[in-house]
Amino acid sequence: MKRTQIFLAVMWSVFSGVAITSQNIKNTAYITPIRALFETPSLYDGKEVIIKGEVIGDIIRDGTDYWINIKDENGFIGVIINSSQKEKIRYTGRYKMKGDIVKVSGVYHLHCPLHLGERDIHAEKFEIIENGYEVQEVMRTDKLIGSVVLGMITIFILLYSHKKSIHRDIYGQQS
Amino acid sequence: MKERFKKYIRIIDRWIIGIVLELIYPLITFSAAAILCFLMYLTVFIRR
Amino acid sequence: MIPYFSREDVGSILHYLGKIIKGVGILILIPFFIGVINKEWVPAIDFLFTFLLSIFIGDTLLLIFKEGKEINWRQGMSIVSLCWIIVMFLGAIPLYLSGHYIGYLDASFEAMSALATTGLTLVNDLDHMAYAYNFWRHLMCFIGGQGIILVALTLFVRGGSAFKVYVGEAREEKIMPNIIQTARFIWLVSLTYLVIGTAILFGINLWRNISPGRALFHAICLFMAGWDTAGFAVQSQNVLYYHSPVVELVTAMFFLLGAVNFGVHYAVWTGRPRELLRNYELKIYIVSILITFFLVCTGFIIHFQFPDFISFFREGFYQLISAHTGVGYSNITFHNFAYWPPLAILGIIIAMGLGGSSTSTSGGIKILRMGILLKGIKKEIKVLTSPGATVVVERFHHIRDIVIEDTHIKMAAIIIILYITLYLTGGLIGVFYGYPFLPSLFESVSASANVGLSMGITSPFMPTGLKITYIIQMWIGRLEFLSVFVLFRFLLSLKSPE
Repeated sequence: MKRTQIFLAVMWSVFSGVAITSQNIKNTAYITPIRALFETPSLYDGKEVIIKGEVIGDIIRDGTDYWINIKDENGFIGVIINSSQKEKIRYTGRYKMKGDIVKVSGVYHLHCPLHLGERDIHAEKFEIIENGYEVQEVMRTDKLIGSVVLGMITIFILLYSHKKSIHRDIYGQQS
Repeated sequence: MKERFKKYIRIIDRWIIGIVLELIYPLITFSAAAILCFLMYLTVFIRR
Repeated sequence: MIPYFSREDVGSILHYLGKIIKGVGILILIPFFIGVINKEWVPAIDFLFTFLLSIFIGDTLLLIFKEGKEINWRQGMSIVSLCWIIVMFLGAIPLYLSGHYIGYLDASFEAMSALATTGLTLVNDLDHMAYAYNFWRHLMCFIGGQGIILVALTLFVRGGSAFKVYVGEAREEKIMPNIIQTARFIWLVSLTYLVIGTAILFGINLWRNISPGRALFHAICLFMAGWDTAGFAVQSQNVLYYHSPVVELVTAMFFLLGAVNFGVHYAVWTGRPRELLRNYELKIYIVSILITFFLVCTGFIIHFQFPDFISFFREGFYQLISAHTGVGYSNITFHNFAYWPPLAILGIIIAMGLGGSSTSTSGGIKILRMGILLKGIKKEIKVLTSPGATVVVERFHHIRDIVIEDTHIKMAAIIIILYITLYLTGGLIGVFYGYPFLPSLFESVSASANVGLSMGITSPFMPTGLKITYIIQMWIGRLEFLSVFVLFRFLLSLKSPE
């Protein structure tokens, strides 16, 4: 009785595990993590991949095309887009700014023959999934108070040392 | 006054020549390395 | 009898430290104003806080410890090594307050990495960092590369004391008879190139459609970290971010010049351009670059994987020149080292270990020492092969003709052995923490020679012990041992009674 229970429990866990992993594979099969493009380049080199991530920094012109840099959880890659795709981008990630989240599909090259050996993706499909937005700064009061207090102490010390040096100039150095 | 002016011109002249030469210097180094690299690249072709 | 340190020593050391801390405090105002200009109020408050704190500490020290007599050698050396640690802690405060670092240790690591012009980084989410913090990272590179003491020299310290602290900062040559003039000349060279380099990079950025403000910011930061062979960049991807061979060429030009001896700059700028061809150190430098590059190329040729010549040259040579000058700019990501053949990686490690010229902004063993050692070996062989009573003289040209003496060879050999020991010790500690040998050695050499290339060990999640190890390695590597040893002697003598 007990043995069958254990057997059933083991079987159940194995199957559920397989089910979960296969589901994961199904979900992530389309979107490749950028890190994987660099860690196992042989799997992806020259093949079409789909990546998703935030557009960061600047849109850099290169001839008639543009470079953008896309960042996901732990990876970065340069993507080449054309000028019509460039028009779609509204926000790029920087301080006080969250960039647009984009989904790009295109061919990944470990050493792109067109771009002097760059690691890049030539975007074929380019869509914006989430729009970027501006982020407000959060001022912390403890820092403000700390600065004010420190400022007052510093001014006090400056005045004190100044007074002392005047005193010394008049009455000479005291031992 | 004129002498002094000439002296300054000479100093600045040397300065600019120095900077230009120094900017050329790395380029020569890079070209040397590029030639070395190219020769080695040719060996790959010959082997294939 | 070795003289012990006395209470008087402590007084003058702390007095000068107070001055230096105040000087650094004033420099913190620069990122403060950048924050204000860009309406980044939170960073501005952080910098204001750090500014006030450093003025407070500096003034308190100056108030308690009055100016004593002229300092002596051991005091000078101790001041230098202590001030690097203290400035690291001060410089880390705004970085820590920025919230881009896991803890204060990480911020300190970043500050030491910037000051020692290494370029290893532990920052999180650099791409969303405020301009003010980012500028401070790069300004620290510039301050550290010029030398904290050199910066302080031009501001405060006068007279005979100046040379004693100057030498402590790993710059034994005086370019001009007067040390203050030397300091000014080093500033002149750096600022001239700052203007030229920034202008060129600014032009490239504008041409590539980056908005003017950001183009200027990128240009200044890229130049400061490149010239001072630090290797920080404005974005996480380092130079790869620009996807531009032109940017790579221009940065490579300037960091190669940054790794050239300031004495050579002086000679060339004052009407002796032949020095570029005659200088022994530069000759050895070029040969060394070519030899190490040969190793890298040979490594790649065994399993050749590049589509064409240019991508091969671009990837191989940029990492090599970056390693050899001690910069650490990289146009690949650290994952890409995975497909680099071991021979090529070894070539990079050797290049990193050798480093740039002496009295430049780069770290490592320094080419002049290798040159002197080679001449020494040649001299010994000549002595052994020549008949009894011959006097063997070896000489080389470095600014002027120098006859090699045994003391030169001895000093060079000692420092070289110490560096190799430091490299291996760091590698050993890396292996101890469970990393493979080659990456451990790579990272250790990169930290101690102040390069900043990484094979992926350096990350915010690496063990705390390893972070501390690398901080110490960067510190010792930048100051070239002697002043650090003097400091240790000082600390030991404080403990033991006279």
